[in-house]
Amino acid sequence: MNIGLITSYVIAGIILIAILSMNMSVSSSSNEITLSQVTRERAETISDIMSNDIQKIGYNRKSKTNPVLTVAEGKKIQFRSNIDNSTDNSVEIVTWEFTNTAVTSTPNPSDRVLKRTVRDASSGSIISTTPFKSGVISFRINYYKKYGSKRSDSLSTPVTGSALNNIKQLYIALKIQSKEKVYNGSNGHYVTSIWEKRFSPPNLEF
Amino acid sequence: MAAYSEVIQTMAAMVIFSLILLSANRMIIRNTHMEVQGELEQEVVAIAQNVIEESRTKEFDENTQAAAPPAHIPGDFTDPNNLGSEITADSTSDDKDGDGKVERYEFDDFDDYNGWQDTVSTEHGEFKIWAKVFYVDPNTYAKTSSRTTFKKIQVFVQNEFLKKGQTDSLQKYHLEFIRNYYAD
Repeated sequence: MNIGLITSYVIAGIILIAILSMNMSVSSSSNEITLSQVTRERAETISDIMSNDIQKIGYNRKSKTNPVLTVAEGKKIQFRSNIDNSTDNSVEIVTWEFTNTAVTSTPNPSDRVLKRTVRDASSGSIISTTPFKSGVISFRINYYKKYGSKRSDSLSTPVTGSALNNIKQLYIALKIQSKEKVYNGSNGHYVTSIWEKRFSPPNLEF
Repeated sequence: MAAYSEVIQTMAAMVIFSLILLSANRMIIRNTHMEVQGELEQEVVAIAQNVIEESRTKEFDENTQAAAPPAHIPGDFTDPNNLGSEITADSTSDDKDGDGKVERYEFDDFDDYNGWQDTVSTEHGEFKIWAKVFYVDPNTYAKTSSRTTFKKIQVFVQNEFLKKGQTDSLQKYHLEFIRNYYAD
């Protein structure tokens, strides 16, 4: 067996290993971008519904509701609104709460249920409950009494009593992770997407 | 020569493989870049929307804050050259706390955002933001130097990681909103 043949076998082996490694990297990158897109779509679904609700805080057809905000905690917000724009001016109580209930249907151990509940304000009966099991791992609400305050200058939570009337802006941050891990080497990681927005609901202005 | 033909063939394979590897690496970098860009652009939209939504909660003009509307519309609106926050010696001044500057929480009308700028800190880093407000023509919605019942706000956002293509210059994103006095 000549030296040239042996050398070429060794080099061919190295190339094969390199091709395998490259294939894994490309595949992992593609997986990551796909999962990232899916995660962002999930965040967008929740943010669309939430944006629609938050902008309508205190809304009714003729005047704003009284009270407007009823609960203002770090992981829970409750407010009154004619959320379905009903012509009889009936008001609903809308609650968004980040619960401690783990989502058992996914392999991700960090995700929890984010729950939206709509109740009839006069009877207290539940109109709808929507549990979001889309990989939400963190949900935070900050409250501000001045427009454009620095993120760190939020009111301490829970905001209670007459201080609820001072709230002008809300900042909501939502962190969502993919259900599955992306593997690149031995340790996999969950793809994370963050959605955050500061809201200025018109009915908190005055 | 025959003994080295395999080596030469292997080296040729290495060259071809290196080219493929370079291309694959470029693709991975591009994927990562797109991922980051998508996440940051989502933030850009949220920041700009916040300013637009906030501006909509204010009065249309400095002179439309009284209970009764101005006698002449749009003749009594603020002069197009004076759009922005006002510091005056009387009670109409926007500088409510008297510190010599008008801050965002002191804005009381839509055009107070004209010329305003700030740096916003977020989970995704810092974003530079600034705004322009001007009157627009009711038919063409183009900028006009005369008073009309329409005003447009343009919100600009920049981030150090969002660049124009492969260049080093920063991408300037802008969102705009047209407001009509009679639609308030």
